[in-house]
Amino acid sequence: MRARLGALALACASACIEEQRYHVIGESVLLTADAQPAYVTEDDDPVYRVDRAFELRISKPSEATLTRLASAAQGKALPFPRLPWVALHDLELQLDYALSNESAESLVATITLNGVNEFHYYAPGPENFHQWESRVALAPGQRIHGTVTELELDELALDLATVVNGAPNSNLVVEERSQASLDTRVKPFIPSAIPGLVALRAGLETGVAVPLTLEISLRVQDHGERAAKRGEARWELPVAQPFVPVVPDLE
Amino acid sequence: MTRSLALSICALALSLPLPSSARAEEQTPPHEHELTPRGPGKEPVDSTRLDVPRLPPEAATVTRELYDQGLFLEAQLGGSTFIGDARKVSHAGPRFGITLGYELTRWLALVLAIDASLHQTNNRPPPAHTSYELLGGLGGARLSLPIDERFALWAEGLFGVVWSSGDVLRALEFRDAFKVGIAYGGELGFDWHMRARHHSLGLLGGARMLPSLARDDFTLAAYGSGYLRYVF
Repeated sequence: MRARLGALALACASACIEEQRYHVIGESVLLTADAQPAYVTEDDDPVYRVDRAFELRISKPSEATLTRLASAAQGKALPFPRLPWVALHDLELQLDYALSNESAESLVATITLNGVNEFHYYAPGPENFHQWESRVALAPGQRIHGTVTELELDELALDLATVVNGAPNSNLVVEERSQASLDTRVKPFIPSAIPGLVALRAGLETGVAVPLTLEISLRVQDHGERAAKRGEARWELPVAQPFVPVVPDLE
Repeated sequence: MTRSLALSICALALSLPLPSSARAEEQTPPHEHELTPRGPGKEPVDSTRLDVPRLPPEAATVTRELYDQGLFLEAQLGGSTFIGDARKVSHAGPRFGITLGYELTRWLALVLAIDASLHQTNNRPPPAHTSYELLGGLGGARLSLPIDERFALWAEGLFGVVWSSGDVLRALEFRDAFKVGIAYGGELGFDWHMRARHHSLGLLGGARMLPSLARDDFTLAAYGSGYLRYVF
């Protein structure tokens, strides 16, 4: 009987989860025809790249809360100075995107996503994997759309915490098909506290400079009372430090 | 042969004049409650019977006065769609409603209605397609016009509120969709009363202005439902 009541209470609680959606119109990722190459490949092919961060509206923690989180982190050997205010699964995210080729050329473009938590963001170089990427071929004027699921974005948060915690091969951890939580080579580097994502860096990479638009929409399910309510002042997020991937020299 | 002879004797015996005792009874005046052998008789009321003493000469005429009047409950099931802004991002969807009313007279009733409709989005992604619900609570007055003892037409004016939980419409630039907004409109219905005091069936169609769901211009909800009504 008690178990049934518990299940009923859980069902009611889950039905009351706060849900927010953001359709970031007018703040899309734009690649323009006059873009300068971000870098050149070994074959002297230019690579054009744009990316920008999309921040979530997080409720502001009190100073006392931050102090408590800092003291609670003592002795845990974490790669950040305090426990995160937004932990993994506090906010479940789903990202919907649409990529439009506004040129008269056929091209191949790569959509990229990298995670940002309260302490770090993933900053891959030209030779590194992004935390999530999708390579698509676009006909002139074509528009495609897709969804990055909650599970994939949870993996971004877990991978970011793991590489920051000293995993020796960042590419192994973040590669889209690897699952850090199941890989025995990676498991020892998963920290005991995993920060959740508070922002996402979405980007585009192409070999030609043409007008491309990446539209982003985020759905946020608040399981931990961390999303700012409507009308509530948002937290000015702490400045996250870039984490450049660590890749062992295999030669 | 023996058998036919016996039948002939019985027939002869029945045709013989009655004996003197029988003639004496015939001469006494008939009892008041007995039918006379000639002419129409008057059958008295039998006070021992539990049903009516006689069937009525004609079946009772069915009129609306035989139906119950007063508090009623209506369960509605149908579909709803939009005209205007919400139509650009939503499919039509199922609609459910419950109306509680009170008939002040045969032609005037006050009503309270709650209803809900579910809609799948069909916007150009992003966001990805999903679904949302629209909830309404309204009050109003209903005027009925009986056509005959079974059929009636009615018209209703409604005013109330509408609300959509979640952020689906807000993410589609319906900025006030998450607020409780006003709604007003009307319904037309066709009611068919069963041969029963309490029940009737019907069809209705309605339209409602939803100012809180206006994005560029306006949003009008249009719906139709079948219903079952019970008058207490």
